[in-house]
Amino acid sequence: MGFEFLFQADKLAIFMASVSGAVSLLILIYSVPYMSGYPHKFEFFSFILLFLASMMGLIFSANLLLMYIFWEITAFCSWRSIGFYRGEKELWRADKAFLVTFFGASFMLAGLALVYINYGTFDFNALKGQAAGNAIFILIMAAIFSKSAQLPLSSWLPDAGVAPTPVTALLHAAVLVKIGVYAYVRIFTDVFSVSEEARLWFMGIVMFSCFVAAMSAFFNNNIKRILAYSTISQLGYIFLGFMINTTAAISASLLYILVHSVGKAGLFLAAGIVEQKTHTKDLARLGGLIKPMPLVAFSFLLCAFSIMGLPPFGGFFSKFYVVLAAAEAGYRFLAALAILTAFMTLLYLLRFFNRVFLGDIKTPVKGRVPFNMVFVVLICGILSLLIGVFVKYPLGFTDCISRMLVN
Amino acid sequence: MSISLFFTVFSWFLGGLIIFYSTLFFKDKKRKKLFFVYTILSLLSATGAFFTDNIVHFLVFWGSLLVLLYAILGLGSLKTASKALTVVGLGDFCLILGVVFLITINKSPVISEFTPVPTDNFFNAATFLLIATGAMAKAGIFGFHNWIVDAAKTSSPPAMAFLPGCLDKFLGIYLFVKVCKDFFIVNNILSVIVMGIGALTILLAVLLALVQHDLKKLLAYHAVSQVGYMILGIASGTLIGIAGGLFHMLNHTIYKSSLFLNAGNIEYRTGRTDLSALGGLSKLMPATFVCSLIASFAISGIPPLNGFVSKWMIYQALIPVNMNWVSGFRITFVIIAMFGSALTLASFVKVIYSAFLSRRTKEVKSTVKEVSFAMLLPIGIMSALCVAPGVFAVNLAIRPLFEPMLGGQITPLGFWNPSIATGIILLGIILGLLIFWIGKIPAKETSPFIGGEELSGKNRVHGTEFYLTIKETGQLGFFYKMFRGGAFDFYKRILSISGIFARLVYYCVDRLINLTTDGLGKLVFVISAAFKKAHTGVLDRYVTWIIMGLVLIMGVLFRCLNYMR
Repeated sequence: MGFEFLFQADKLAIFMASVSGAVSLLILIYSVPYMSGYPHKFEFFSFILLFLASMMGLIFSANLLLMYIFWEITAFCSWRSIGFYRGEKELWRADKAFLVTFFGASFMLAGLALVYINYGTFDFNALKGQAAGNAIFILIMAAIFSKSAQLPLSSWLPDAGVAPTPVTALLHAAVLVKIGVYAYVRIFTDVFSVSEEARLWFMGIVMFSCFVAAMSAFFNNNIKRILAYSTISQLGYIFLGFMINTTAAISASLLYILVHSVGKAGLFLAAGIVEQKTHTKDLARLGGLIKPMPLVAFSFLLCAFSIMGLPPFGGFFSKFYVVLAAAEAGYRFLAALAILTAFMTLLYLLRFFNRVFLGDIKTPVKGRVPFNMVFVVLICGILSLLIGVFVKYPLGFTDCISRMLVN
Repeated sequence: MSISLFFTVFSWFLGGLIIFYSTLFFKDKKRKKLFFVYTILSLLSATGAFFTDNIVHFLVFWGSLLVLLYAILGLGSLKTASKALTVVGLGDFCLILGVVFLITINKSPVISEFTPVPTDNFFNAATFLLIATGAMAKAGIFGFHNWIVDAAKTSSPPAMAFLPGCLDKFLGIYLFVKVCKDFFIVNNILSVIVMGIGALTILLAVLLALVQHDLKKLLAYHAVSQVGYMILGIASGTLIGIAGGLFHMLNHTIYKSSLFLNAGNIEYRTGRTDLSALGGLSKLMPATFVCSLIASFAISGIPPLNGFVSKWMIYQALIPVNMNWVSGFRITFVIIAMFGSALTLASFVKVIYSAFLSRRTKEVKSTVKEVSFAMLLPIGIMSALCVAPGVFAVNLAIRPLFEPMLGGQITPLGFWNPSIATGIILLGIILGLLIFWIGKIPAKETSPFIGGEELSGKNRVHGTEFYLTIKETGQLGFFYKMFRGGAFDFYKRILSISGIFARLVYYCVDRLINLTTDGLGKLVFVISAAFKKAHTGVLDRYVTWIIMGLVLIMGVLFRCLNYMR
């Protein structure tokens, strides 16, 4: 029937779990010195661990209902961790994040009801290969879009930047937004099949949101908001690849998940160091930080190159193969838009780097940066490069997964 | 020799000379090491790009060079480096999109399996333009040139000689040749467009070079201007044009590296590169002077040096054989190119005069001496290479190098045979010397009489004032005004246009959606506040709600049951 408390592990689940697990580990190492000054840090760690546990549960769950339950647990965890600082603004932002994601999830619930009415089961293995109607697709996509912050349900993610940096890094890089992506692959690539027309509509939406977010990132002056918009924009590519639904595209998007997790974690953690040491998030008040923190600047640059999609960094391969798959599937306009957005990515990340790390020091740095934190950021930077240089290995794995998914 | 081998051999050769020079030039040990690492990595990537048969791998090598460009320029100034990254990055993303389209057209990423694609429909033409833009942006055409000029200020001369002077040209032109020759069958319209870009590059860049006061910036503008010739030649589509373009690229990298390294010598000894502060170096640094002279003549296309031969080949390729609507354009381009050459000569007369021949300024100390032999060695080799392929162009370069590479016979070079001409010129010089020696005309130096006043530095004619009048003349004055206003600063244009669009999109889409979301969120709180009123804590009230709810649910259920029956 599909109501069982049942888990399954396939290649896709293992890939996703190892990527988000590894990146979460890095972020947790970073968060120990970062959070050491806060009195109620116990709350932070307990919620983060619950978060990770429910993420793992979601990844391995073998039916839709179980997935939904974990889905809502992550929403609850994200609500509490975004509102960690308890200010008026922080609480409202946390409420907003919760309301938007729950708004989407309630559609998902309706979608699940439709699935049960139509097929009489929630079990993935029983549902495999069924054609999902457009209604089911749209209802569940609403939940996925709210979780992965795609237009028009994206506005909570930039606002969630009020959370402590490890939380934002976790939301953006490892867990929350990736849940939506994972749910898409699991439900609409692995289990159901979706008509091309419906996919095409959603491809249009994600690329539009990808472009709009990149533009917004270029215009913003708050370091965390810039990176949040960047996440929205990058997720557009991942969705694009999955929606194209060819072997090459899925493989590229899976690689993209890996690359984006590592790169975005590095960017956020570097921004976190900047924020904690200067107590400002305003680009206009930052500058010249390459002198006091050269290693952070260097790692930021490596991660930024990867997210921009410059070879030989990992980001290039994932982005290139997604765009190539789009063009090969005949969506030339989307491919062109994707490249334009990639150029915008270059612009806003360079702007970020130039404003924060170059020029004159405007806000002095207080205190020394703990070694653990710099170390984690450096690891992210070097991993971004290594994924690109040795792209054969992750690509081999993702190819293997995508062949499994398409057959 | 295959085209890949040709590019590889010469890029390693010139790169090696520059690296050798740089080991002596840099005084800072750490920067020297980093420069060494980056340049070697660049050369390796370039080699990969020349030899790979998979266009995706080609993109990887090509793009790695962009990152290395950022790194090398970053040794001087990261601001300039990010400018370069933006501008060249735009070209690279165009290239990536073009390559993506090219792969979909050819249905394979293997270069040797590509068949030349006709550019008759819009999509194919757009693909051609995208890839050509990538290639030309790398080579540094006008529009994509600003970072080169900025880098001239912030980077060291070896870095300038290595990247914009040498390696970027090798790569850009390599791809450009591939695009025009192997990937596409270029139709007339596209060919005229691209040649037009080339001609425009020649003219505008040289006009800007003319009014520069800094030696390195002046050289940077010439590095831009010369690309125009290569593009003109290659885009002409004839065999002699492609050979001429390639030959010009080779010659350019030789004399431009030589010029940059000469500038490096001057900077090394005097610490200055602004022309108004330099002077009288011909006596203090004679070897540098001679090498500069040779390279300057070569870049200006004076026979019998190498620059002349390649330019001559390009002119020949452009002169139309049969008359159609394109020929008018072609003739215009030849005229522009020749005019550009004349202006190049003019601006180098200025350099030679103000740096070497004019009177010594007080900024240049009399203790300035020639650089060491080891530093002169690479420049000397380059100078020799300016002369030899020029004089023996047919036998040394064209026959053994370009004919097998391009697979076809290059028709004789019109009425110009460099070897014979050199002989005649040499004869002329010898005759002149003889006459001079026989006549023994007494050369006497007299100091100018200016009313008994002492000659001070103020009266000295600065080379930098040579072409000031040009700035004021009619249309050109307008051009220079536009230049000062930053009209050609592509980087600023990109940023300002993106900024405007970003603001538009941000407010019209993102903020609008945010406002709606916030409004809906607030609405939830308003509704829940209304429901809060119902929770009074009195038991009777709750019982009432429960019963009301029960009635409602029962009603709905009965309706449903009726409906289902």
